[in-house]
Amino acid sequence: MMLNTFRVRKTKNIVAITLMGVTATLACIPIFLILFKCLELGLPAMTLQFFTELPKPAGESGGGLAHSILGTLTIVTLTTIASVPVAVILGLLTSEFPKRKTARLASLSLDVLSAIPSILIGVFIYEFAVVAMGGFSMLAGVAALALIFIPIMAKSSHEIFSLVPREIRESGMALGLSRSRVLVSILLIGVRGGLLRSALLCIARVSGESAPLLFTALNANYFGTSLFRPVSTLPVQIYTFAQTPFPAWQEAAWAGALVLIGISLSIQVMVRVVGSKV
Amino acid sequence: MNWLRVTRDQRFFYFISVCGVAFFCVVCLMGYRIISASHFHSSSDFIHFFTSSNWDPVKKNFGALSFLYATLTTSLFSLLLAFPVALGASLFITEIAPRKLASALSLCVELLSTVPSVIIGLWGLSVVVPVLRLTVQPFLQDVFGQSGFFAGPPYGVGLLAATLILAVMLLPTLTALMRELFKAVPRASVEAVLALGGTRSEAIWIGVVGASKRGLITAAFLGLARAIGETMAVTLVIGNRNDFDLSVMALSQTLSSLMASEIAESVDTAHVEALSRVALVLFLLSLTMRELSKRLIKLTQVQGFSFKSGGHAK
Amino acid sequence: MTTTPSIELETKNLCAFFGTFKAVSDVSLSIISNQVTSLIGPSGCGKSTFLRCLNRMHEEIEGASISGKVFFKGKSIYDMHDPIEIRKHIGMVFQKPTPFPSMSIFDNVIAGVRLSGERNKKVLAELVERSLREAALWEEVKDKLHTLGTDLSGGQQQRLCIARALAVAPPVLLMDEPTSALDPISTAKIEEWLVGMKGKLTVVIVTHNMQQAARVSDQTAFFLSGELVESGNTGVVFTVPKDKRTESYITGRFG
Repeated sequence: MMLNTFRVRKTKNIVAITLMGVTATLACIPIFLILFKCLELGLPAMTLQFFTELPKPAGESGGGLAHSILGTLTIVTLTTIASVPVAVILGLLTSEFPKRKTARLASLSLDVLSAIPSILIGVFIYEFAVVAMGGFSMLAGVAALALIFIPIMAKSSHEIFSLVPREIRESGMALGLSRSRVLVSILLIGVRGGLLRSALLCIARVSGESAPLLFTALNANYFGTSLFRPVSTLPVQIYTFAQTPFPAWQEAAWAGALVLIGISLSIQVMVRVVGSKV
Repeated sequence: MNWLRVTRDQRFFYFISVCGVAFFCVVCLMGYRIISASHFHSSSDFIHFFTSSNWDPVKKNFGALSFLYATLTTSLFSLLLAFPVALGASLFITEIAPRKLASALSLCVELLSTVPSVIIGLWGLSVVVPVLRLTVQPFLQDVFGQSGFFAGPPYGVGLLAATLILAVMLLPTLTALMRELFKAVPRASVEAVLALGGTRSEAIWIGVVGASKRGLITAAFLGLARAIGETMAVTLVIGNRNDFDLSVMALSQTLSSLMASEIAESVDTAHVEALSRVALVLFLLSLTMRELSKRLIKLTQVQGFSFKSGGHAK
Repeated sequence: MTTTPSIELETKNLCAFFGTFKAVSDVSLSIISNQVTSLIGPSGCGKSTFLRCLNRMHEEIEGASISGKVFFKGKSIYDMHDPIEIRKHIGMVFQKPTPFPSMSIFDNVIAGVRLSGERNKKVLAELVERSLREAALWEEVKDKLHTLGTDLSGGQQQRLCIARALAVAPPVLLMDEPTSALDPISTAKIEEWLVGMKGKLTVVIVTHNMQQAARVSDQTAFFLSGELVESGNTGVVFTVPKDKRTESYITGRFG
C-alpha cells in the first residue's frame, strides 16, 4: 500500500512539473509567432518607397507610410519634451516632500491617471480639447500621450529618488548647500542614468499607443506639419489599414508594424545596455 | 509675503507645488467634464441604458447591455484561460528552471508586453481569426451542435477571437505579477515541505502557491481590470456589431471597442452623451477592480511585493 | 610658548527633541579650538543627536527641535535665519561613506565649493589637490581624478568625503562615527590623519570605540542617557574619572 501511494505521488510530481514546463513554453510562444509574422509580411514591404512616399489611393499598389513615420517621430518627440520635466518635478514632489498636502494631491492624481484605460484618456482630451478647439489636432494628441507618459515616469522617478540613501542628501546639506540645491545638482545628477532609462521605456510605450490618438490627433493623408491639424501616426494608420481589404495597404500595415516593433525592441536593448554603464 | 526672507528652499517648494496642484486641477477638470457630459436625464434613461441591448444612434436608442455583456464575458473568460497558463509558467520560472533558462523564459514573456496593442490585433486578425474561421469554429460546431452558445456562421472574428487575444495579452501581465509574488515567499516554506518528505511539486503547491493565495486573487483582479480596458486589439477582432447575441461565434462589441468605433463619427449631442456614459461605466469598472485589488494587498501585507508591473490597459 | 586655549564652539543648556521625546538634556559643553574632542558613551545616549545640533542638521528631521543655545565664535547660531551659512563653517562627515553617485572624484571634492558659486577651473583644480592631500588621499587617486567616486574602496571613499568637507575650508569639522563602517587598516589611516590635524583644525568626533577616543583626542566628553556626565582632558577622563558612571563605562562594566 505504502509503495503504491508513493509511486502515485511520484507520477503526479512528474506530471505537474511537465505541465509547468508546457505552460512556460506556451507563454513564450506568442512573441515569436508575432515577430515572425511581422518579419514574414513586413520585411518584403519595407522598400525605399515605404519610407519616403505617401499611401496610394485605395486598391492601387505601391506607396508608403512616410507621413505616419514622420508623424510618430514628431508627436513622440513633442510628448517627451513636454512630459519629462513635469514627470521629474512630480516625482521629486512626491518622494522628497511626501507629507505635504500638495504632494498628496499630486500623488492621488498620478494614481488615478495610471489606472485609467488609455482609450478613456483619449475620450477625456476629446471632451475637453477637441470640442473646445473645434477639431482634431496634433496638440490634442500630444496632450493625450503626455497624460500616459507622465504618470508612468513620475512613479518610476519617485522610486528612483527613494532608493538614494538619506545620507547622500545630508552630506550635501552638511557642505552648506540648500536642500533644493542638493536635490537638483546632486540627487538629479546622481540618478540621471535611471531617469534616462525610465524616459526611454516611456518613449517606447507611447510610440505604440493608438487608442488615445484615435480621437485626438485622428489621422491624415498628408505630412502633418501643423500643431493644430490632425496628423498621421504609425499605430493609428496600422489600425486603419488593417481593417481594409486592399493588399497594398495591408502590406504597408505590416511594414509599419515591423517598424514599431523594431523601435520598441531596440529601446528595450538600449535600456539594458545603458543600465550597466551609467 | 516678504520675498527677501523667503529662502531658496521655500521658493523651490512653491514652484514644484504649483506644478503638482496644476496637474491635480487638470485631472479634476477632466473628471468633471466626463461626469457632467454623461448626465442621465431621467431614471428611465438610466434603467434603459443598463437593460436594453438596443443601441441605435439614428433612432436615439441607447441601450448598452450587449456591450456590458461582451466586456464582462470576454474579460472573465480570457482571465480563466490566461490564469492557469501564467500560474504554471511563473512557477516554472521561479521554482524549477535553472537561472539562465529562467531569465530567457521571462524575457520572452516580458517582451510580449512591449508589443503595441495594435500589432497584436493585426496579428490576431490575420493569423488567429482565419484559424478560428477555418478550423476551430467548425470543429466546435461539429462537437457542440449549431445552437445556443455555438449558433451562427463561423466568421472567425467575434467574442471567441476577442477572448483568445485578450488571454494572450494578459499572459505577460499575470506572469510578471505572479513572479514577484513567488519571489517574495521565503525559501523556508518550500524547504519545510521537502524536509517532511514531500515531492518537489507538492512543496511548490503547498509552500509557494499556498502562501500566495491572497496575492493571486489580487493579481486576478488586476488582470481583469487590464482586460476590461483593453481596446485596440479587441476592436480589430471583435466584429463590431452592436446587437446582442449569446453565441461565442457572434460578432460583438465591447464597451471600449464601441468607443473606438463610434466616437470620431458621433454627430449629435445625444450620441456623444451616450458614449460619455459608456466611458464613465468603463472607468468605474476598471477603477473598482483596481481598488478591490488594492484593498486585498493591504490585507495581505506580503513583504517586498510591489505592483510595479501593474499593467496599463492599451 | 603657551597660549590660553580659545573656545570655538559652546553649548549652553542645550536640549534636543524628536517631537516630545527629549534625546539630549541640558548639555553645556565647550569645544576648544584646534583640538580633537571626542564624544563617547553607549548607543542611544544622544551623542550623535548632540553633534547634529552643532551644525543645525538636527532640525532637518521632521518634528525635531531644540532649546537652549549654541555659540560659534561667540555668536548664537540658532538665531540666524538660514542654517546654510553655518554649515559652511562647521562641516560634517557621516558614518556611512557617501560619495555622490555618478560623480567623479574631482567633482565630488569640489561639490560644496562649485555649487556655492566658484567656477574658476584653476582655482578648483588647486583646491582638489590641496583637499585630497590634507585628507591623505592624493597619492592614491591623483591619476584617476575623473573616475567615479563610487569605484573607490570603503576607506578611500570616507577619506574622499573628508576631502570634500575640507574643501569648503571650515574651521570646525564634526565627525559622526567616521570609522565604524570601515576595516581596521582604513580606520588606522583615518586615525593617523586625525592625529595630524591637531593644532590645525577643530574636530569633534563621536565614537563608540573608547580606544579610538583615547588614541586620537585631546578632550573627551562622556554622555549617558542624553546627559553630559563628565568632560575634560582625555588623559584625565580615562585615568582618573570624577564620576562613577564614567568609571563604569570606561572599565567596560556596560556599554
